[in-house]
Amino acid sequence: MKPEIIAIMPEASILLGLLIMTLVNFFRHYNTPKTFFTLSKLTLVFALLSTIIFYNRSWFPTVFENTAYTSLFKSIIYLLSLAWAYLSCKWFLNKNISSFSYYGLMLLSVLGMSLAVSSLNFLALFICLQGTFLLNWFFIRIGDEDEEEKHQASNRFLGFAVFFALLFAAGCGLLYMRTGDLEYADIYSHFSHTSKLVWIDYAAAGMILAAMIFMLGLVPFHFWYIDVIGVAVLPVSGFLSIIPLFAYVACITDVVLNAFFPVWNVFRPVVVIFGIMSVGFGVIGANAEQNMRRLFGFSSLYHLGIIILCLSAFDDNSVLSSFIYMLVYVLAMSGVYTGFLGIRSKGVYLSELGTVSGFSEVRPYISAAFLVFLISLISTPPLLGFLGKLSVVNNLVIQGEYEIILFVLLAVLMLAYAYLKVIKALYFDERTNSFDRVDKGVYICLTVNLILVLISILNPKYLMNDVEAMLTTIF
Amino acid sequence: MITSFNFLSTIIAIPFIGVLFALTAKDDDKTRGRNAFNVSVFAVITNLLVLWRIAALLDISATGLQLTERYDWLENPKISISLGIDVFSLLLIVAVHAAVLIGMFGARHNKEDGKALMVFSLLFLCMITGFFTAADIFSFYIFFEAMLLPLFMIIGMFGGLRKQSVLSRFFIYNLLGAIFLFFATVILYNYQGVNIALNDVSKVNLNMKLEIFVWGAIFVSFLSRIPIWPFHYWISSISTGLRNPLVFIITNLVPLTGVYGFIRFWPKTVPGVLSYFMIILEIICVISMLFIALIGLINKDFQYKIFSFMTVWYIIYLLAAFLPTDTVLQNIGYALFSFLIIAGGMEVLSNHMEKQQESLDISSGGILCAMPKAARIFTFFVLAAVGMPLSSMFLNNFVLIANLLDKNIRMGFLVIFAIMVVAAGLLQELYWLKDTECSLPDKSGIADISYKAYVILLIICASLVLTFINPLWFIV
Repeated sequence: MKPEIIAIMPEASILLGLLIMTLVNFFRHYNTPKTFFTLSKLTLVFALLSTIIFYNRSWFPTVFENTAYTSLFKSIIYLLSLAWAYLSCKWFLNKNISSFSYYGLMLLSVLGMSLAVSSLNFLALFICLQGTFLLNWFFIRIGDEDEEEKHQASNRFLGFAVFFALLFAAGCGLLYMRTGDLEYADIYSHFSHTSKLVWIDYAAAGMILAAMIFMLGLVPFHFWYIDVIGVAVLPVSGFLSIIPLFAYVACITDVVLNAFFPVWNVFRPVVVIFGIMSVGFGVIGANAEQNMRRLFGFSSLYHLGIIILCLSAFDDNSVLSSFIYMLVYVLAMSGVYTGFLGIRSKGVYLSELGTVSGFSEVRPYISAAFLVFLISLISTPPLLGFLGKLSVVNNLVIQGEYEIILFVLLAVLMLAYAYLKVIKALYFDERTNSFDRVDKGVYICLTVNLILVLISILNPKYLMNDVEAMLTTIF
Repeated sequence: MITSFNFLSTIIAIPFIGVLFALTAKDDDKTRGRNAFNVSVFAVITNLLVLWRIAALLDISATGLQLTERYDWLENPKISISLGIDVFSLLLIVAVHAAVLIGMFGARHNKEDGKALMVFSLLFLCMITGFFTAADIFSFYIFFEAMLLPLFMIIGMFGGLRKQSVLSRFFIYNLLGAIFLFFATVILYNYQGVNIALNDVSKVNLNMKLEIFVWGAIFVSFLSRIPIWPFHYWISSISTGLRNPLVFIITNLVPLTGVYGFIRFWPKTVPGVLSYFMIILEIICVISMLFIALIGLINKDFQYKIFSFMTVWYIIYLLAAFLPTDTVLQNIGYALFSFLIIAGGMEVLSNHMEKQQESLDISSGGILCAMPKAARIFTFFVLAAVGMPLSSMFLNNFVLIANLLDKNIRMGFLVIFAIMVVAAGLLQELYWLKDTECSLPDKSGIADISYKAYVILLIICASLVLTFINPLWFIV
């Protein structure tokens, strides 16, 4: 593929946006949270449009290649970031604190993810993905709530993140030692053509995969995620729950298919066990929680487990099914986090189940939206979640994994029990709190999300056909 | 019958459109949910009119589903949604609409959030209509599970449950059943490579292992909807606490979905391995039936008596559905038609009496003496329920019991015994309510049903009598 300078526009525009944002922060004195949101919005819109326009052009094809597959993931990341940036602004306006660090970190993170998704080289992947992940340390420290707890959590996060970054780096080092190169294609060729692979080869692949699974937050590496979700401010929790998932899954898929596929059979059972553990831990943890954000954090583990179980075969069908599930999950989860922005009492965003009781009495629309998203998350038809369940279970039936299906489907019962606690609190319990007025933006976002959920379930085939064609370009 | 108009999607869409209108209806202290109520009643009546038109288009003598519709829904996996209707499902849809309509009238003066009740009731009606018109395994499953959400919300918000754990258990039990059905559906789909029509499910040749699994899963899924052991707990604990007639009627429609599932899915020739389980199931059915009938007899709560009446008959219809013949199917349909309307009518009237009792703080003994209009209608419903020749229940239940006796005389006798116990319970209550020897402190303070309600109920009674003469009088 020929290098094309124009294809650098999405990433360049984000860099430019960051630069302007920094200059505005230093030289303009009357900034409001909206100032940085507006700059981020313009930057992300431009990045999104240029990604769509130059979807198959690459500016440095040996290291970063753009295909329909990468552009699909990048577009989703930009789009979701845009929506979440808009909603986060409401939080900063309410708290009346500077949003510069948040939006700056968000753009930097999006830039890193965007580059990581296009990477064809482990060094580039390490710098972009690991760098993005380490940025979370700054992310967690944003805001003024629960300072002590937050600092402790961020320091714990940093410790583990650095350890796994070193593991990633060591894996890359070992690969380089064995192959003399870090390009995916060369690694693939090494693994497929070397007649006798030694333990160093497996160790290198294992280290890289372990670091990526850690970033994803799959059990047994989930501790950082639950820890962070509980203490970080709402915009950060939402961002970490919704957006990076696409980047991590896109990168893992790319790495496994284009670099480690010849040895994947060695790692697959381990990843499947991690997936099963995530499903199990997720539902148990969700049932034990009284804090809604942590409850949804644990339920994310369940969904993550299902995505990984489905993806583990790494064939065209499993990539498509896991993508559909992921899309459905993210749509519902972003709806849930949008709902969180509407649950406020005396300026404080509520997350304990006991504090939201009887919420439906005063805010029926937000409660109804919550209901739709929760039911969608347990994959009950006729809501969009059913589409995800159908794709995943159908794919697992094709793979003949009947025991896993049974386990997953029974686990959903336990997850449903946890979600019923939320529904019960919102709808059936007596109201004990007064709730603040909800911003129009929250209503707008919820409506858009609900329309998406409704339209996609009524006629999913047109959307899915194009997505399927785009996803196949990874093979 | 080929028609260019999509009648079946229309009858699913009308309640849904009703939901949208009800949601936007003004609801304040002045209107108190009246707008939502009017919209809902209008939607149900409109649907009944469309159903009448559908009835006119149906060929009664033809077998198989008619007025079929098909929509391509998904490309990968390739799934088309098919709808179809026959006389049996038409009767059930009409009966469910009539029962819900009666329930809506019965619940219109309740002080609770009427708007939400109407919205979720219409949503339930939309889903159950889709369920009865589903013509393939996927659409059948979709509607089977989809009706859980409105049901859960109706019971949770308006059921007045003292223990919330009962509600969660109800949802989990039913979700478990739906999950089993989903698993079986996906396996069947992958085995055949296409979405299978409902009447062809029993023709699929599965290998031994899959056959056990698939039919076992289907078996559990439908059983979870019927209040027999081990799934009996949720519905009895929910039904006894309900004080809203509409909620009671809707909740007691759930077992109908299980019975219907068995009727539509279950092969007439049961797979070999499952035939052993069938004997066990029949024993469990009979024991559950006797148990619930006896509790109904000794229980003083009339609502429990209605619940036990409905449960006993649901189980009888289930046992009849297992008979290795198709001829009784139509009889089940005819009987169910009257059965649902009668149960709905009894519940609404008993709720009215209970409200009078509560407001005046009096005993229910002899209360009907003070409300002659309600007494006439109530007596009619009770007599029709116990098997007097007043509705299609009389002749068709007779045919079903004869067939059950023919299949297994011991089981048949136990079934008759359970019917007698239930009938005794209902008659005992009727006697108590009309007992002139009971002294009512303030007879004038007891409000009878309104003339409007009386006329509507009289029309319903007349239509039930017509079903005795000809169960399909509204078609011919």
